[in-house]
Amino acid sequence: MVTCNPGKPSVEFIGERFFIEFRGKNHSCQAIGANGRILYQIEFDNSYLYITKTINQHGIPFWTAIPQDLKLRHTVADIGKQIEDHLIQTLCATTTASK
Amino acid sequence: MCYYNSIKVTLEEYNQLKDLETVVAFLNEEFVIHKGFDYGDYPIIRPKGNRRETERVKMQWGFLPPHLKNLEEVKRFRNGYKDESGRYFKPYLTLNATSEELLNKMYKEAALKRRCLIPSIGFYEWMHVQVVGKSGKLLKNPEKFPYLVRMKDQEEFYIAGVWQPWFDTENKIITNTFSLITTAANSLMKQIHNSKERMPTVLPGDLADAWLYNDLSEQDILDIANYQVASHDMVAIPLDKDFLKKENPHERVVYKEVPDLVYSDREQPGTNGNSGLLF
Repeated sequence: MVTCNPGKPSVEFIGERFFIEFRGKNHSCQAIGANGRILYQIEFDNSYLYITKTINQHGIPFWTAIPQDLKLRHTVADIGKQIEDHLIQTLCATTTASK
Repeated sequence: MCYYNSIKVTLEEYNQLKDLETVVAFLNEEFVIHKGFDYGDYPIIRPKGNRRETERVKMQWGFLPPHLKNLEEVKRFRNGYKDESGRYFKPYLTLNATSEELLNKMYKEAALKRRCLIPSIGFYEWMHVQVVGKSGKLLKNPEKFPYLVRMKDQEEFYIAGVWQPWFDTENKIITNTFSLITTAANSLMKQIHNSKERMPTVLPGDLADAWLYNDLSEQDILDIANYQVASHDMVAIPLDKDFLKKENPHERVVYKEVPDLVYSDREQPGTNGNSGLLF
């Protein structure tokens, strides 16, 4: 009988970890490149939530958990907004510093 | 029209999101140790469509032949059972398929049509050693010492496998199952897995590619399934007997009862000499 370890998934961790605040607690967040898309990995007490931004057939963007969990849609929308705010702040700071 | 659950997205977007689910499943699985007798899901690699591409999908470890109709029959198949007259039917162990009988009985169709690769960064086997007890006499039962076996220059390597979709006629669910192929042990694995002298069929890149994609003859299938990786391409690390409970399960330990392993420099990789034989 053989017992195995699977190999590592081929994904790319992008940038450094950052923190977002959600319901009064800080959660570490990591961007991950996979299959040409960006996923965000958010840590919650030693487990992870993965979210990405997608677009529906009417062209309206929304954040979704991977795999999708409709019970989490409000949570995911909140966290997605926080990540966008973080990115906007970071990018603006970088632009200002560049000037 | 397609859905990502209840929210409508395009087919292309749906496929991308489903692919991301696979990525996430693997991220969560990183460095998980899989025990065969758990009959759990394990990531495997198979060809994707007719293109020369692959996909990683989870399948249940433990090949289930299509003639089993429901979960009760699966339980009997895996655990054995007695019929009404008291006749005992032995269990079928299908975690591993021996290379020599791959074209025999239940694996044949899968070997011809549904071959896959099992990605791994290491496997475990137990050396059986006769040890002297406190009385100074050899103990009746050998002690078992676990080893982690990895490839010397490859963090991830591939083991040949075959897969089979199994249809549960009661619950109307299809479960993909697979079996890992084993070949005769090389000189290193004969020392470690000395109770059975078998090892997984670890394939080098060219044979792994051929295993997945090529239109192989029965003889080609047997030749590849019987492939033996050379001892000197492997590294074996003795582990704590309770390594599964350790914080660092792969920490090397030293046992005075266990003989040193001998790595043969002269051994060549290749088939094990049983190619084409069925028994």
